[in-house]
Amino acid sequence: MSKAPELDLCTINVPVNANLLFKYWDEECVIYNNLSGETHLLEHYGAELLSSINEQPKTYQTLLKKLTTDFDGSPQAKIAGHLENILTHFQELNLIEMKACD
Amino acid sequence: MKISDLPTKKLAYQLKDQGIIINIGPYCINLSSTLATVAVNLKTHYGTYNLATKEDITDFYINVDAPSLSRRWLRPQAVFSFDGHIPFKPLPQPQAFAMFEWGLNWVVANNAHNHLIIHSAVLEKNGKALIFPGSPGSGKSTLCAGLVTQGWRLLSDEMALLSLKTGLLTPIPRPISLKNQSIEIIKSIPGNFFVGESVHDTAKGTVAHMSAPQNSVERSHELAKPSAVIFPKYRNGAETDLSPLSKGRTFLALADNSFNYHVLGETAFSALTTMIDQCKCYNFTYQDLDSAYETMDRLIDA
Repeated sequence: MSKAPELDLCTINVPVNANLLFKYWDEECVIYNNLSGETHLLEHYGAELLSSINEQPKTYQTLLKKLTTDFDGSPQAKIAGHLENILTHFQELNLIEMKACD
Repeated sequence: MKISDLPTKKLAYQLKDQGIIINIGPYCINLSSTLATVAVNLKTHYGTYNLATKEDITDFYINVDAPSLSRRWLRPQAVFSFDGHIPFKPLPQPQAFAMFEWGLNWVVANNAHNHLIIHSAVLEKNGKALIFPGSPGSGKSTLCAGLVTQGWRLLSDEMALLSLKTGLLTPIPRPISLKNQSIEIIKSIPGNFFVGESVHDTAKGTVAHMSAPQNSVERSHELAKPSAVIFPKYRNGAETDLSPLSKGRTFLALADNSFNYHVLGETAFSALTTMIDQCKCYNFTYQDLDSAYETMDRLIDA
C-alpha cells in the first residue's frame, strides 16, 4: 500500500464527541464507539495506540517515533508501512480522523 | 393460584373473556384467545405457572386468535397480536401455540430493555449458570433439553436476560422448543419430563415443546451468577470437544447474538464486559449427549 503523500503531515484524533470505551483481555481489546454504535476487536498493541490517540491527538511523526522505539531494530520503511496500515484500518472503522496540519 | 388449578373450561372461558395474566419469569403476560388449542397447550405447558395477583402490573398484552370469520373455517389460521399490533403474518391454526411462544420471544426481545438480552439457552447447577448462545441448527435446544432431563435448572431455552442492575441472570423458564430430529432424541431419554404433540410443516420444520420442569418454574425468582459462556455445535460423528475461546472473541459473538446490544449501547458494553470477566469461555462440539452431560458436569465441578 502506498503512503498518502500528506500523511506524515497529519494530525490524528478520534472524532469529535466520540467516547471510546476500551476493555483489555490478554492480547485482545474490545472497543466500543458510541458514535457508530459498533464494537471492534483489536490486538493489544493497536488498541494501546488508539488509546493514546484517544487521550490526546497525535501527529503522524509522533506515532512513527513511538513505533520506532517499540519495534527497535525493525527497518524504518517496514514500521512506517505498519503504522499506515493501522491508521487506515482505524479510519475505515471510523475510530480516527486524519487532518492535515496547518 | 396456578393455571393447573383452573378447570379447562374455566380457563378457556377466561382466555376468551378478558384473558388470563400469567407470571412468566419477571413478566406478567395477559394472554387472550378464543382458540381451543391455545387453552389446551397452555394448561399442558404452563400448568405450574402462577396466575398474577391483583398487585401485579401487566407488562404485555398478547392475543392469539383467528383472523377473520372466513378463515375460521377455510384452512383456519391464527394471528398473533401484541398491544393491538400484528407484527407477523398469520400461521395455520395448528401452529397457534408455537406462534404464541415465538411471538412472546419477540415481545420480550424487543421490549425488555432493563436487561441485556442474548439469544441463548441458560442452565444452572450448583449455583453456576452456563450460557449457551447458538444460532438455529447449532444444537442449543437439544443440549439444553438434555441437560434439563439430567436435573439442571432451566433459566431459559431462548434468551439470557442479563440484569443491568445486578449483573445476574434473570430466569424466564418456558417450554423448550424442539425441532425435527431432536424431538425423538429427547423423547427417547428416560425421565420425568413432558414433550407435547409435534406440529408439522412450520417454518422451522416439525416442532414440539418440552415443558419447563416445575422446579425451574418455582425458582423463577432466583437469579443466577454467570459462570461460563459455551458456544455449542452439534456435529454428526464429532468427538466431544470443549475448547477455550478468547474473551474478546466471546464478547463479539455475544454482542452479535444479542437482541438489544445496539439499543443499550454503552450500558450493554459495560454489562457484557463485567459478565465476561467472571466467565470461562468455550467452543463446544458434540454429538453424544451422555458425553456432553459429563463435560458440563466436569466444568461445573472444576
